[in-house]
Amino acid sequence: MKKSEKSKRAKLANLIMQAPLAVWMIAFVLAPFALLAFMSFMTKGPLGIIQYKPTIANYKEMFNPVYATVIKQSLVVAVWTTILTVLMGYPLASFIAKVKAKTSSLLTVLLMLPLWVSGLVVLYSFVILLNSSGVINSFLMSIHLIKEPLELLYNNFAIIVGMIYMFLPFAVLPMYSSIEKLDPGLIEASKDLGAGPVKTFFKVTLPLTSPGIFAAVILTFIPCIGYYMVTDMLGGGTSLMIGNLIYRQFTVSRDWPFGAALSMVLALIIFLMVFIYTKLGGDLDDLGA
Amino acid sequence: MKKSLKRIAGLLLTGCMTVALLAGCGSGSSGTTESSSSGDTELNVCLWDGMFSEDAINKFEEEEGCKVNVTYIDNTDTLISKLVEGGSDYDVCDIEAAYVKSFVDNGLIQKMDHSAITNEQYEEPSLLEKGPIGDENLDYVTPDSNAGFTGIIYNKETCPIEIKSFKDLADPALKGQIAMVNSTISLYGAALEALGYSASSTDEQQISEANDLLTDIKKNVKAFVGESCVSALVNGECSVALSWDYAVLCFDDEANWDKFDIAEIDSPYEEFIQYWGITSGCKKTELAQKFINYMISPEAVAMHIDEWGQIPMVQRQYIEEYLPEGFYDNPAITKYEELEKNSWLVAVDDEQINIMDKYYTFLMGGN
Repeated sequence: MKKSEKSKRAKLANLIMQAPLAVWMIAFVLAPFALLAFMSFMTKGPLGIIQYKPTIANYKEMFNPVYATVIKQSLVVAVWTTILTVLMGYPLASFIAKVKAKTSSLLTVLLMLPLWVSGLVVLYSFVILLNSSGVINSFLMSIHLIKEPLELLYNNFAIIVGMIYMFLPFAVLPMYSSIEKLDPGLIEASKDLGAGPVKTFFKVTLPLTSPGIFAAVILTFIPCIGYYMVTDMLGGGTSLMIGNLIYRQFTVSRDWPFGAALSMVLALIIFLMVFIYTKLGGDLDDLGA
Repeated sequence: MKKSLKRIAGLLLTGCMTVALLAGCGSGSSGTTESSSSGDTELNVCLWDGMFSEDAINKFEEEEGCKVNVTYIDNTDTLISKLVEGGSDYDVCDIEAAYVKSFVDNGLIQKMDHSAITNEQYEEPSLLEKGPIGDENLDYVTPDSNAGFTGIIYNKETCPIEIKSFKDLADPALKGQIAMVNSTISLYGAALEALGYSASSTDEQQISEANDLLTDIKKNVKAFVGESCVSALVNGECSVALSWDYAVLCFDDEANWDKFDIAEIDSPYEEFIQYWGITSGCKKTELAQKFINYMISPEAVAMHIDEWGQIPMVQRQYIEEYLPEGFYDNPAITKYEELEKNSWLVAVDDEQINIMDKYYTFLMGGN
């Protein structure tokens, strides 16, 4: 068989192998995305029916200060959740990377367990745990540690606890992957050269595991910014997130074009984050690509 | 080349995550659909979740030898989307009073032949005397078998003040004590009525004033939790709730009868009534009429009540035999009779929704 024919066959085989994924991506990512982009330039009609009259009014509307406040609020929640999740996740990832292989596998499975349960069920269980007559307050009162129930639900504490719980696995796994790849010889070398544990951590460990940290930041921040169930269910819905705003446009307001425009802005923020990540040297492989 | 391919794949993945997030945004409103294929003996109906007895539907199927395909919805927006996008796929729908006008104005439902709905005779006469806004003569709809209120429910033991007005909810003594529904219409309607305006107002100045009142009240609100309002009361999280579930509270547990009450305030409460309509695309009108007629019969209404706990809109003398003994001792029923005399109904239109939703965004996003 000629070399060129072999190469042609290999190319064809490659094409056939990639075709299902390509079709999937076109049908369920690119096409809906294009539809959303198209819809964002249309006009809302009676009963929310979309009228095919092109307009940029939906994007202009977003300059209303209240929408800027909502986007800012969403960013603040996402940033805080990301910082705290990464801060909590890093020591955990280090621990998992350092223990024996069997224990490490077990801990990884335990870490992944919450992802096998519906987010809604998880959040309802938090409501049961944290409410005034819930498990935690009942226990603390039964052992006479407190006289009045603690206010654990419908506040920022509940939001942060819920968010960290939901996104911790996404943060730990890439950091674990980075820490595990770290050459122990470099740590030894640092010690031999007279650096203490703190200096070694900041000068060697942290820079070398930074791709994992970057990936953890992206993987936590991206879902977090549009996620509103936690703020609704555990925070009491007293503030509006960009996800709520989009949801309302597609339901209560029946203003799909404006909802689509908001979705495009959210998507843009996310693309921008990924762009910055790659510019800072982040590897898309670490994001699962 | 390989690197750029990776980047593209990465961006696609990100896009995928974004779309998945957005898809998640709409997940809360989707209904459950059984089969949608329809023959002459099949009826496709859109019903509110948590209101109708499956047993009653099964019994109707047995009696008529037909199949009823039910699509359950949990908000009117889903119903509108379904009717607008696939109007001819559905035969019967259950509509909130507030939306009847929109349905009639936009030609989503056909005229109702009341001579075929013989069980109307058992319903409360007040329901038939005047229809909802937009169909006052009941030309297009017929009343459903249950009703309720969005009322201020309070815990008699823990509520720190006596509530005589909706405005009292802004009293600092109630800080962190209030759970509220998150429905735009219910919130702004109540505030407008408390200020002496109509809940149907589209006057931006009046809605702005209502927004100011709600902003003051919001300082005391611990949670806007929709259906979970009564949970916040029951588990002691809050001592006051603006909720539509007083009946649920009373039917759930007899112990709640003495523990909770509805505040008697100086402005009317929102009443909610459901209406049956036959879609304009329905070709099986006779079967649709039979279905509606059966669903409002005393026997079927008793089944709905048994399963979900509701206030029956069927006259007592016709339904009592199907209900458990002592049913009418429930305070939710006597309260309904008292409050019904002074209540407001609203007709939602696009203009009002647009203004209210803008202010709702200010209310929730403004801190």
